[in-house]
Amino acid sequence: MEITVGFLLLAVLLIVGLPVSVALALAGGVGLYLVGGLQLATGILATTPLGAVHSYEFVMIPMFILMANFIVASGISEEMFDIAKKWMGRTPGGLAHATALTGAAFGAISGSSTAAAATLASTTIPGMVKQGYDTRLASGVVAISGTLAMLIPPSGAMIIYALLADMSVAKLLIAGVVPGILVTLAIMLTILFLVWRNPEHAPAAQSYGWWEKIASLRHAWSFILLFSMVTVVIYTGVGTPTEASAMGALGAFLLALLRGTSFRQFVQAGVSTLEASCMIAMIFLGAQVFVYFLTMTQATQSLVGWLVDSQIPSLAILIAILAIYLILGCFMDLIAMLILTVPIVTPLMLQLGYDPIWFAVITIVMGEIGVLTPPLGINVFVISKYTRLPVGEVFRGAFPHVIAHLILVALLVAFPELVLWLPSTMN
Amino acid sequence: MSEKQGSPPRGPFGPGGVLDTAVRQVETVLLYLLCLVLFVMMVLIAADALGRYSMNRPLTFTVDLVTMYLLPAAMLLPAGLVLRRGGHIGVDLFAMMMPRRLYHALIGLGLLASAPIFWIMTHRIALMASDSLSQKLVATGMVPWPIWAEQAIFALAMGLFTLRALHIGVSQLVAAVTGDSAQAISILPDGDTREHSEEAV
Amino acid sequence: QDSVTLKLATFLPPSHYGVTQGSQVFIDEVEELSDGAVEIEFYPAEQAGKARQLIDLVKAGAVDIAEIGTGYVSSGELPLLGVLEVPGLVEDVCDGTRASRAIGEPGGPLYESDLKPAGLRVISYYVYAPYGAAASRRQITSVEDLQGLKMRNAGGLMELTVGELGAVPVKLTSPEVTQSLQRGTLDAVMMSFAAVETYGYDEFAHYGSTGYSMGTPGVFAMMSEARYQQLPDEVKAAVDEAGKRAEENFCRFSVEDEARAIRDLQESGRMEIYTWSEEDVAQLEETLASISEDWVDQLEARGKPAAETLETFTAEVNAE
Ligand code: NA
Ligand code: NA
Repeated sequence: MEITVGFLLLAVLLIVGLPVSVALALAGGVGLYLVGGLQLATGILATTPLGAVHSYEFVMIPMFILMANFIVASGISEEMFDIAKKWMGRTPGGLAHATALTGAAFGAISGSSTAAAATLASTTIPGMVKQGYDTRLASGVVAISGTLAMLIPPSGAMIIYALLADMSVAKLLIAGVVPGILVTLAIMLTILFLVWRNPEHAPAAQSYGWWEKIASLRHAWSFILLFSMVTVVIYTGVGTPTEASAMGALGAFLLALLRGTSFRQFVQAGVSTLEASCMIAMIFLGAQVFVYFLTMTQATQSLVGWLVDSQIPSLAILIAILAIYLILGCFMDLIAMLILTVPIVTPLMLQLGYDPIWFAVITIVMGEIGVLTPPLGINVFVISKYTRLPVGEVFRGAFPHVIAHLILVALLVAFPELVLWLPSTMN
Repeated sequence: MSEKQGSPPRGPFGPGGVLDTAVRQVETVLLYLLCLVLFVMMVLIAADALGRYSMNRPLTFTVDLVTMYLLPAAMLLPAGLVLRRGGHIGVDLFAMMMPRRLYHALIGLGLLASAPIFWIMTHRIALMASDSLSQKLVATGMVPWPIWAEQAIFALAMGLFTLRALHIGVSQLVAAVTGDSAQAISILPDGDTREHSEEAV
Repeated sequence: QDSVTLKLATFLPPSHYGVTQGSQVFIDEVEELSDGAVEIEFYPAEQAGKARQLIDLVKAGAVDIAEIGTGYVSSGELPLLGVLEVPGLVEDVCDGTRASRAIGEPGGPLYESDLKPAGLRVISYYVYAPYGAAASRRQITSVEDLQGLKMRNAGGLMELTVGELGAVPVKLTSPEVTQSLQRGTLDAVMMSFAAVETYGYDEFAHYGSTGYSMGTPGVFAMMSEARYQQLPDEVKAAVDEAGKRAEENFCRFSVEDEARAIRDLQESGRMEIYTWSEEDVAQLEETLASISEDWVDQLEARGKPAAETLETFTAEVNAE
């Protein structure tokens, strides 16, 4: 009874358009009151804020965001695109491939797919449009390539997942590397397919000599430095992910300083970091209240127990959950989706015998689809805003990539080693 | 920065009203201070790590300083301001399809209903802080960090958020009653209620 | 007869010996002693709330009994619990358990000054094996050998102990410890040898020392006094008795397990563990005397009966 009221209230508050954090806190608070009266409700409300961000590992969230914002301020992404462009040369759809590769490279130093999509849109779309690319093809590639940022480490979504599910942040981050490469390949294959169908959508670009290609790499050192500072440090275990995040931010800061970033831009990077981190922290805070309410009603345990005892095959449950993620992803922001589902789904997957790291990666890949699907696809909105293209056009441009992505998910489900091999080589 | 150009502020609660402007100034100063906090965190953690790895000299106090004060300050103190700037994500799709006055009324009521929740947090944690202060509670360890300051940061953050929730809630209700959307302080990104929906739907 | 359902929360995972030898024993005993009148709803592994929040949750009535890590509250709300962290006091876990009960029962200084004002009472005193020192780089055969070692510790008075010994206190979460030991960014951990073995730190920490307690961690199962008073008398008695039986089972297990861990680690050649000589112990006592003195002074200045607590505790440890 209380559980129904709680969920119903949450749904109404979300639909009305209240911020997710406020909706969670309010529905959770009311639910707690119904379950245990005023004393219980106030007692839990008094302790939740203190527990919301009280972990040293949480530092990774602002630090990785700060790092990405410094990178954007420094303008390195333009150079990455330049390198990729020169190397792709006259390959059919060369600039689109270059965009995917830039997305992967930028993803290796940024943890936010939205930030990546915004940066990619401003660096790559003008070039493609000038070249005479079909706008749907161009914007679709940018939308999907931005999502690489949350698969290739560092990834804000992965860190949040690991914090929620109490898993090793380092292992989960590293588990994203191989799937990240696979997604990059899937994007490039999709481009080849689209260009093969409509060659006029991607007019051939200029070709570059070998000397020019090699010379372009001299700008790559800054990227390689930052990438190693983060991913290599985490993989080898030379430092903890928390330390890697602060050193990565510091590295990006120094790099931006070297490249003449203005004081104003630095402050701007700081301000947007504060806003993005605070948004996440507040969702954590609200979710703590709501999840506490769930715990008090024992809803999670009952649901998990019921599903495990039922005769439904594990694979069917897995597919059903992935379908739910696909639907939720249409309406919900990824972070909110993770916070609402991870505390329930993680114990279920464990009980069903699935590897939690593997499942986390699958969830993130499903989340990538979510930022591309209507009606709420945040990456699509961002790109539409930058390019002044209608939202519908961008959604249609991203659609072939959504299909390719779903095929990839099936592949990852069939061959879990693709995800689990690399983290298993860590000590 | 987010309200539409050319629509002059009308009510005391609305965007650009007396209240909004005053709170905004405090929040802006706070934001610059927090940028500094962010920077200090970055440098301290990096220095702690580098010190431990290369010179055998860790900055032992970093973990406590960061988890007790710097991190909560950076991550929660901007909460009210972020609400004002439309930075707290929500599901705005259905909201955009609703009649405007209904939307303002529902958001206003929702925010006002949430205010007691955040007020309880503020009040209870402020009490804890004052208890800790009167008992002079400090963390046991190499540095006796005062515990009240940690709790005070949380209380302040929740307090600022409560105020903004009340203020914006009232402004939304004013808009619902008068039918004048310009009276409402938006909680949507860029203060924009319609642009996405018209194109998406 | 009406049955009572009590919510029991702990931060320990269900497989931890604190649960299998402690919480689970309590659950079984209380259900049996009350003839099924008491039913326990068990929330292990922080399911009901984070470790440091548990005390607030039990006070709010969100859970009925919470197993609270003493280290989380000895710096804050229950400062007299810091007595567990005073070096050189507890060698035998069962002595420590008895001594904790002596200060924590109604009439005892911990109860009267800390627990009662917070509205709490302790059901089980799970005291853990005392911290030794397990070092990675250097063999320890004298107190001086500890100097300069970067040493992970649980914070609180133990951080001061590490500092007083001339070592460098380091704070790390447990998953970070193995890596740090391996990289040499951490030289030593202050822990029981059972824990060293469980976490596999002996892979990189080959030398250890024992025979002098650097402090003792505790996990006390606490119940809100108000909730306790609502229970029928038979249920109260069943809860009390089950609490005692659980802690006694746990202390016997801990004593044996720690001795076994030390033996196994040495016999298998994984670690060389040095037992402090009498001179070493005298030297440690002299070096570390200021820790307990400062602790008493600071708490007495706040009006807390720290001297009486330390005295009662010490007397009970040395009784028998
Ligand atoms: Na990334
Ligand atoms: Na979507």
